[in-house]
Amino acid sequence: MRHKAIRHRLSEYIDGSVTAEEKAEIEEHLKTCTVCSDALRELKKTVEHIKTIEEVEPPAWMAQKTMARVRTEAEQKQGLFRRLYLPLHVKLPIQAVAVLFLAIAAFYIYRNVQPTARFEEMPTQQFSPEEKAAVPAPRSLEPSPAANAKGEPSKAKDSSLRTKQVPQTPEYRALDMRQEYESPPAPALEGKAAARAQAPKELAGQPAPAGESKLLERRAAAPQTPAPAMMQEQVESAAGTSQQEESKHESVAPGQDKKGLLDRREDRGTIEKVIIDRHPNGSPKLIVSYKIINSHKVQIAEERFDKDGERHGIQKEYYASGQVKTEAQYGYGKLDWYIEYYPDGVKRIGKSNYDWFWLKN
Amino acid sequence: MGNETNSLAALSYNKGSTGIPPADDDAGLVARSRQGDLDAFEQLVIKHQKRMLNTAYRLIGDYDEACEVVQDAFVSAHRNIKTFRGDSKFTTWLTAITVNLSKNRLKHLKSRQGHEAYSLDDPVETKDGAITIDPPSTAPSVLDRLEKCDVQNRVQDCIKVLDPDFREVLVLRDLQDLSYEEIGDLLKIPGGTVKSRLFRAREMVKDCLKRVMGEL
Repeated sequence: MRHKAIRHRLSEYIDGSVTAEEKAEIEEHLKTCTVCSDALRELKKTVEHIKTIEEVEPPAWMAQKTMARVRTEAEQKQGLFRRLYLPLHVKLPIQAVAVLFLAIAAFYIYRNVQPTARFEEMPTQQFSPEEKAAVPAPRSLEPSPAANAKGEPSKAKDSSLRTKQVPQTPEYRALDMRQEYESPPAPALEGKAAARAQAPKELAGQPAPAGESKLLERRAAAPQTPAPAMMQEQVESAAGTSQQEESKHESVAPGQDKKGLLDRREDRGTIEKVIIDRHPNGSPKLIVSYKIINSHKVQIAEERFDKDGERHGIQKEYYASGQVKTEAQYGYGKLDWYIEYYPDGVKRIGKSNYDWFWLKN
Repeated sequence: MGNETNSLAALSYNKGSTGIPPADDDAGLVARSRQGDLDAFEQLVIKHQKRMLNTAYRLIGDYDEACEVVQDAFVSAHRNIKTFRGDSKFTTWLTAITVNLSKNRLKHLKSRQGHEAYSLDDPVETKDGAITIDPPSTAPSVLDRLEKCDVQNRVQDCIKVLDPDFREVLVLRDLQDLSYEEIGDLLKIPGGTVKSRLFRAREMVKDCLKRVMGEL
């Protein structure tokens, strides 16, 4: 090692932190180098002086004061611990209530927020006369008063809104379902049709429920237009069964849970078609398909055809979720399609621009 | 002879460098303290407060401030004693806390001095006009100073003027007898840096003492 390097290692040499070889080399150098020897002596003396510094004594109160601070902090920590975890007789009920609240909140969120489902591709086949004939005939035109009494306030409100939007023109009548399944008018049955107009009032036999929809009132006046034979047949059968249906509807107590009605639907998941409008030549103009997903989700799609049966487009509407307006009625904001269910399995579908269409179950 | 003693010290240092944790006399008290035994921790306080106070005092140079720092160090040690894994001696861990707090206190004191709003020598306005502040001095009288003007005070003064980085290495090595390895672990600096800082610190104190004392 050179002189300078040895000079810098003298501090370590004093502490004995050099290897045996380095120590020998340094000592060999010190024999000949007076500068390093003097430096080593002064360094040793300096360290001795430093080590002679007397230690100061801590004040008598220091340990006591220190422990007082430590104890205070420990108690605060323990107090916080107790506040968080104790006592159980307070903590458990709070936790139970919180868990219950979270469970209820999660349930309602799950009920109201449904994942978006894709609507299945609609078949694009043309409707042959056989298919037209196979279209399910409505069971009844007029819901019984008892049935109408269900969900009265909201239904009345929606119906009145719908009536307001419907243009009272001859074209509007062409959209009415009563034109859908009707064969050419049979004059012999006009009397029955006239009787049908009186039927709801007679069937009711008692004061009409307050708030009955304007739509239904308009339906009662509908016989002013020629009633097709098919329609009249429907009316006849409806007249025969109306008493039974009424009694069925009445069997549902006002406070009864109507969710059961929805839950026992068997058409869930199947796509059903309804011819909503026809061209003057009788071919379907507008077909609506719907699919029941669950008790509060319905998918609806519209298909439009020209007079030759050529499909011109499908306006698919994916109603993956919607708010249940009443227990048995669905409303979907954009097109205001509704599906209503009744205790006997009868359901009807409706839209703002059209009348209600009773669907065969 | 001195060299032999130093060699033994070096031996113990080398033993320590093998990675085997040194046996800690405080292990029992520390274990009890970790379980919340405040009496055990009090024994640790009583046992180590003097050593910590001297470390802090030599680093800060102010007795009252050093007392505050030592209290803070013990409170901090108690708060974090569950994180002490026993890889090093309890005293080394405690010294590290004390050194860090002392450094922080030094910085704080320096910044406070740097932000003094006025000088003590500035005259102040009173009803009778401007007067010069002449507060009573807490320093020892001239006679006391003459009596105490011995080597120790001069050494202490020379240590005081050292840069904090050099001062802490010198204090830990020559006053607290910590090994190079312990100092390196404690200050989080390499062993070579410890050696070079210690060499320079000793050289500076030596030069300082030569200036104030003449010959060593």
